[in-house]
Amino acid sequence: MMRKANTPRRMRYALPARMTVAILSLTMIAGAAACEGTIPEVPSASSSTTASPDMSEAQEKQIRTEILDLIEKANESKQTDTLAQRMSGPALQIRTSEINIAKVTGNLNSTTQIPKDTTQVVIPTNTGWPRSIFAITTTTSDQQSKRLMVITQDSARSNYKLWGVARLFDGAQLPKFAVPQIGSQMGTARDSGLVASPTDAVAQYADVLQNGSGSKYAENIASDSLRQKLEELTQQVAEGMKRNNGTEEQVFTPAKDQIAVMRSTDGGDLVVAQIDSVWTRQAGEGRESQPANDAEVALFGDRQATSTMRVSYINVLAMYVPPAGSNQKITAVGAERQPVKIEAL
Amino acid sequence: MRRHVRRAVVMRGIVAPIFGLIAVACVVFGALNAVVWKPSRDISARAQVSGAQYVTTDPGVLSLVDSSVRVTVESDASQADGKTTVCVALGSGKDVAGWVAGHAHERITGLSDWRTLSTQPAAAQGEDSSSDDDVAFKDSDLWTAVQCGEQSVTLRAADLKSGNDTVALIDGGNDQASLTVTMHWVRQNPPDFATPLYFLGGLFAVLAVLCASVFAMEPQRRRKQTAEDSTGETGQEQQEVALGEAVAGSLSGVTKGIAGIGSLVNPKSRHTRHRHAGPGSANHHAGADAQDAAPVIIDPSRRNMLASQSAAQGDAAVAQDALDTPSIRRQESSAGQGGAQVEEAVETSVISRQELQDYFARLAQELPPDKEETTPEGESTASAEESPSEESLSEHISEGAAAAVSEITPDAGGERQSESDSATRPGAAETDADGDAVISDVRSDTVQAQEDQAGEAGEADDATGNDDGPKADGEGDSQ
Repeated sequence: MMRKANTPRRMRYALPARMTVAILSLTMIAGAAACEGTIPEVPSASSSTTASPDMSEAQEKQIRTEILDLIEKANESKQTDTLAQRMSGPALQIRTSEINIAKVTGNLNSTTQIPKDTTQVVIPTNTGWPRSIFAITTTTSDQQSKRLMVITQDSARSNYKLWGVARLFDGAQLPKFAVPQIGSQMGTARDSGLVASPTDAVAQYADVLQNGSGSKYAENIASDSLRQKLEELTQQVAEGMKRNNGTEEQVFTPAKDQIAVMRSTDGGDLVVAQIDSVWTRQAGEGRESQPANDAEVALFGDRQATSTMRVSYINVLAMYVPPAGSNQKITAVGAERQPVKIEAL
Repeated sequence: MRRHVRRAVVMRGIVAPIFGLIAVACVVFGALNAVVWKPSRDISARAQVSGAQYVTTDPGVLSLVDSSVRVTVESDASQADGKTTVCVALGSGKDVAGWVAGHAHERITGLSDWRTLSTQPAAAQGEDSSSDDDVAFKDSDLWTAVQCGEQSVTLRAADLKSGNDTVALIDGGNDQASLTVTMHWVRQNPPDFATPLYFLGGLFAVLAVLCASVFAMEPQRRRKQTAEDSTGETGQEQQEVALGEAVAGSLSGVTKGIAGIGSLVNPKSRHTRHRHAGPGSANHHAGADAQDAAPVIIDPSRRNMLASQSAAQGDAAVAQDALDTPSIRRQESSAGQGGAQVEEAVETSVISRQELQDYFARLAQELPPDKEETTPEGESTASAEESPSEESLSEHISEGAAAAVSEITPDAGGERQSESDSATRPGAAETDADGDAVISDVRSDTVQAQEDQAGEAGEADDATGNDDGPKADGEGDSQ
């Protein structure tokens, strides 16, 4: 502390050295302690109860585009060995059959078209597998009806494959689903709260297909064009058979575990299932049983016809199962029917 | 040293320099933090993982430091170990969990420090769904982005929002290899430590300026007080003030201090404040500002001998009456300041001897006979005592002088007043507001009784109705 001799009234007071150092060191510590800042913490995962879609719309479009590109390539090359990469279930069998028919006839049936654009995409929110995407395409270029595509991923380590395609009936009303940004929940084959579980609904429909109006479930199923067409077809064939003293029989059997269910926002389910049918035609009086349509002809090829012919069809049915308590009937909204095997027994 | 000077010295000499130094230090360290100690923009953290084929990041790790990250994976696997292809993919948490189900893997959980990623092993969960017809890692539909390479691979992820579910999955090819995972971020908003320090520096600079100028200035305001501070003489009187006066004086001092601060804003308030505070704060002023006040003239004629004598005798009623009325005068004369100047104008003139004699003559006539015996001074009042000395006066009274009246001169009054004060008589110097005879006190126990009587007689003109009181009390009750 220094004191000037000539300043009696005011003391000259210089800051002691220690205090200066203390002040400076304090501020220095504050400055040097945090050079990079505090290390950020990973925010604790907020487990949200709302499920998120399994993929984005862009991802879904990319997947669908890859599938359709592969199918198109196989169509053009009329090769079926690559189909298994991106197709499975009834769609694979149907497409294989169609390509085989095209080998004979030269062109694929126009009903095999699948447009690339969609009018609605239903993306699942399931965390587990299998997962299914329901995509509804636009109408085809030649004004055919829309297609309902079911694209399924069976496990985490497999890719999405086209499992089923159904051509929608004219005027069919589809239930409502949430937008792809929200996603929809998939259903199971044993969903409750409906007029019938999906498995039962398919069984009832198969019974109605087989027995027509005489089926005990005829009241549960709404009338649709497939049933009408099938009834007409069956009637024609039956008349023809009767004239020749022949018999015919169609047996519809739902395929086991070949079913995809998506829950709609109104409580009902959209069910897509495979129904196998075997059509046995026996010509009477020693006649030959011939293929009934062009497809059968193409499939049958050059083989020798016998009196009995058995044709295996694969039917893909898309139906809406309404919720319990509503006064609606199980309604088929789309179908696909393709012979896949023909045998002359 | 005087308090105000000391305050200025402390403020200017100690506090202001301290604040100034702190301000300079803050600015210096702010500049250092902006240049040398600037937080780096590039953050690169790595982790070494071995014994697991799959490495996943926890949700939120990719966007931990910034919304864009570059993930680099290097494998030290040799060709002999089998697959050496290293792949990195981005996907949602549930997709990645589905892919590694049934496999034990390592989790990258965050940053342990700015250069190291923290990892944690995770046990196998769920069932292993791998089969022969599995799709290759690179071809899976699950990933939003995927990169593969031999021995090392780099993947960039951008636009990761915090809360995004995107996680990274690293496939090392086989579980024999040791993987080095590096995550590199470029911070767009590194922390800024300079600005708060600059702000602090400015704040302390302002404080330093304030301390050097304004806070050190307060004593100056006091210098402008009305100069009624008592001199050293009245300082002695301070010790004899009553407790009530002392408390009142302190309170007024506090309010005066607050008024002093307020006067910073409104200089005029100073003077008005002083005027109002004068009467009630005479004592405090004398004690606090004794040095600053100009000398004050004490007028012994202001003293109320009746009150002082009564109080000394323990006569509460009389003393209280005497005290109440001339209370203002008493305080003023004892402290001799404050509004005393105002009161001076109201001061009574000196009672002439003639008037006093006349009064005592009347008093003697009115006194009852028995009292007359005890107060032979009734006649002797006529012989107006002129001796200024205490001894002569007491002699006169001992001879039966009715009135112990001293020739009232300022000097004599002052002497007597001081003597009377030394006898610790509260309210020793009093002045009668009505201009009655002010009788100086005589501090002699032997003559007190007689003096009281005389004093009481002298107070006959008191307007408060002590006419009867002094007479009656003077004879019998004055003690």
